[in-house]
Amino acid sequence: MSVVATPRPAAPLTRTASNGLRLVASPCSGGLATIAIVLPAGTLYEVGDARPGAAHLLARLLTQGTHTFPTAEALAMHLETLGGAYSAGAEHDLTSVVVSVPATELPSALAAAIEIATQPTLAERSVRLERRRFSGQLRGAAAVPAARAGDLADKLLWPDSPEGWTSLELARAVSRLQRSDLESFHAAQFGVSGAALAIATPTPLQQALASVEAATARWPAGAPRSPVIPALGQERAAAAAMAADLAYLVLAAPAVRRGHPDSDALNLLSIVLGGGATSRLFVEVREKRGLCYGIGCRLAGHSLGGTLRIDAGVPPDHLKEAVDAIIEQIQDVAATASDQEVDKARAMLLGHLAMESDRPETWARRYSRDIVQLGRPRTFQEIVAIYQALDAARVRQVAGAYFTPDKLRLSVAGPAVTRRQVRGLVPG
Amino acid sequence: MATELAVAEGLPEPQTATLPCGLRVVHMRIPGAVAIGASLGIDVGSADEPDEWAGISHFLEHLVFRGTRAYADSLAIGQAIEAVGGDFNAFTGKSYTQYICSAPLEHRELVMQIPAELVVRPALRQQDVEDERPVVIREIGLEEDSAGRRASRALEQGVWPGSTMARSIIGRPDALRAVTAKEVRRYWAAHYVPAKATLGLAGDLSLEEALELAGKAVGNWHPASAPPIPAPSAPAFQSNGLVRVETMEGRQETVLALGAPVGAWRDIDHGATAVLATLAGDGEGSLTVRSLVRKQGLLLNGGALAWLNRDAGVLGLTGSARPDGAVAAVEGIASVIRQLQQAPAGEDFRRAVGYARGEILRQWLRPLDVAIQLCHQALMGDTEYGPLRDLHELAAVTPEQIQRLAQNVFAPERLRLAVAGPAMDVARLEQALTTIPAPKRARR
Repeated sequence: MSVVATPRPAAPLTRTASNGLRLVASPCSGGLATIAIVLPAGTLYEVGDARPGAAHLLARLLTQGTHTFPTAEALAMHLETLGGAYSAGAEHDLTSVVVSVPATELPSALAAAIEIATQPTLAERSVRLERRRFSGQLRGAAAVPAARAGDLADKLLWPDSPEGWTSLELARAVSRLQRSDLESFHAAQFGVSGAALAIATPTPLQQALASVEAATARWPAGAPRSPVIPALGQERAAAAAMAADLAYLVLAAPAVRRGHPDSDALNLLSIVLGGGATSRLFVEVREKRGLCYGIGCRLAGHSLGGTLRIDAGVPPDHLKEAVDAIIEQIQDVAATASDQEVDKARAMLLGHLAMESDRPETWARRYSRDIVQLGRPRTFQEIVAIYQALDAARVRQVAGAYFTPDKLRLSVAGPAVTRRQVRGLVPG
Repeated sequence: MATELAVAEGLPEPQTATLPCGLRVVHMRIPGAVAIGASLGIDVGSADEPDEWAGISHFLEHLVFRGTRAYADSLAIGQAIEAVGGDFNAFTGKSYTQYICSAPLEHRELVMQIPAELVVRPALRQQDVEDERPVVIREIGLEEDSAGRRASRALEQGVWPGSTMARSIIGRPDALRAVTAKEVRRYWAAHYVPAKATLGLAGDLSLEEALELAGKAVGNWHPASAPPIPAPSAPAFQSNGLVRVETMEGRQETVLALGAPVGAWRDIDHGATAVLATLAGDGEGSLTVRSLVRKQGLLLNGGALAWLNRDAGVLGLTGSARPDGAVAAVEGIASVIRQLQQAPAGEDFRRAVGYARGEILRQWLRPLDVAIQLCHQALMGDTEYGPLRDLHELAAVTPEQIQRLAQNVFAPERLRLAVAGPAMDVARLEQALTTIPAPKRARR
């Protein structure tokens, strides 16, 4: 494990502000600094009086005007003239705001980032335009075969939860949202109690944290709701007949939340199966059989659940061969995942993470998410220790437990594909 | 000035050297970087191909991963680098091909060796050709299913009719099905030679150490002998008027790309071009995003389009719209072009310069990105390299330059529109384009 010998990012500095906001500062080199704010405001918090679609639409409106910069244009002119880039987005369990600027501009950018999270204007006209734009994008995505296959897989897994909404369902929900829906979601979920703020900067960390604490002193409290825990669906196959050159397949299984005892072993399993050019799926389905250009397996975990997902675009007349080849690898890995494969997967994971440290935003993003999803930041040294404790037997164990035939869901979007056809391809 | 900027931005400057075999090395030391990045680039791409071998540059780029002298197959290559936490890949462009590799710094020898193996000592066996051919044909399938790729391809055909630049980098299935290992080896022997190669390197190591490792990796590299290859030749596309349409049944989004040809890389004012592109479509404050996306809601997404290549480029705007709003979206894009032909407002100009500066800092951060950028600049024929050069060019740009450039590039007779999505009325799209007036030329 020579990868562990490389110089590592220095340990972060953590603090809980007097108002309860959890803060972390991470050192970095170079001329850039990054601010990342994460809030427990994902789609799974759209419960009770919160309307479906509110998390996504609100996240898209955060950067379209704040108290000091009341329009999207004013905010852009301010931050981009400084050399900054910024974004906001919602996921299943959280909303994040990230601002990256030349380090010399950090104080000004920090004030703007905090306003983006805490004081968006949510102007009526912006809400109307963004609602229309977002629903248009979702309808466009629903007609793209690869995206449609992904939608269908999520629907099979989590049919009654926001996690399983298709693009078309989300488009319909978004088009019904009003400004007041967004304001009430913001008031509840964007409070200081559930939030985390991370900063990566080449400037002294103590000083940076003191500035952050002063700038966030008046962050409102909020009253976060309890999230929905997604329930697994019973259907196992779905199809969408669409004009395309290729048939796009997604084979998925329910997994676990981040921080679950099996989560890190499942992460290694996903790399053994479908991470990089030496993974089992890449070698068998692409290199040996020539059935696809790209194929991968990914564990998508959040604070409330997770999914293991394999996707590929294959020739429609070789769909069965491709699905059979993938399932064969899934079944085989539970019996034969070797020490060598697991060592390589661990080296890839840790090596990539170490190399990403050359970008300041890497650790700001990671630490802020960790606080919201795991309760505290996980340092590189902790991550190394966690993965070094995992071996091939553990990876085989989780493969056998989570990738069983009865848990697999298959969705396909492509020319003339039928649900009956896809049902016939699902094992068990 | 360069030193002042270097101090202000904390940026190192690249150094160059040439190995005894003739390979040019461009190196940038990044103190404290965890990773090392290397890119071995070759001055050949799809625009250099004979049309009967369309896609051979990209196919060769795939084939070398099937095995080399030191690594029997793709699995052996992958295991060597992935087992130490590294990464490797390659990409082909219109005029060059780059083989890239990165890993934590202690594996620097391997990071140099992998691209060298791929470029200097590939196996290129007939069985490799048979195994890789279906993979690339699947990649063509992915491109056919992508509205963005099809709009880009249509715009290339519109702005470069009769040119090798109009050919898709990935090639055509008919040409790929016919190509043999013998032909690929001839193509490799003709182009993969030290005189056409550049090694870009970045990480926390000295130039001396970099040169020693590079020399060891490429070894005694000398051109292989092979029969001459056919000269580059252009595909047969009709210029087909102002608008090219790619119809994609069932789609609910229309992708638009409006662009005009610009000159070869060496003839472009890069600072002014970067500011013009940023003013037009890069960032939330750009004219396209703030006006067409945010204020008017005509585009679902939008941005600048700047394809700058060794021999020819395209500058323009791109975006997507609801199919029933495509004509209004083109009218909106035309209005942005009209605005660009005026002198930029002071705050717009300052935003564009500020944002472009930030982008330079973000692009020159990770060692692998830096290695790719260094290789790119050298293969484009630059003689000065690095972020400081880019910042320098940016600092010299004036609003008057931007206006002149916009007026020259976006003259109506030079503009072409490409559209991909459900069936649409071409005449109405053409009509929307006529709202772009011929600008009054600014006096020099």
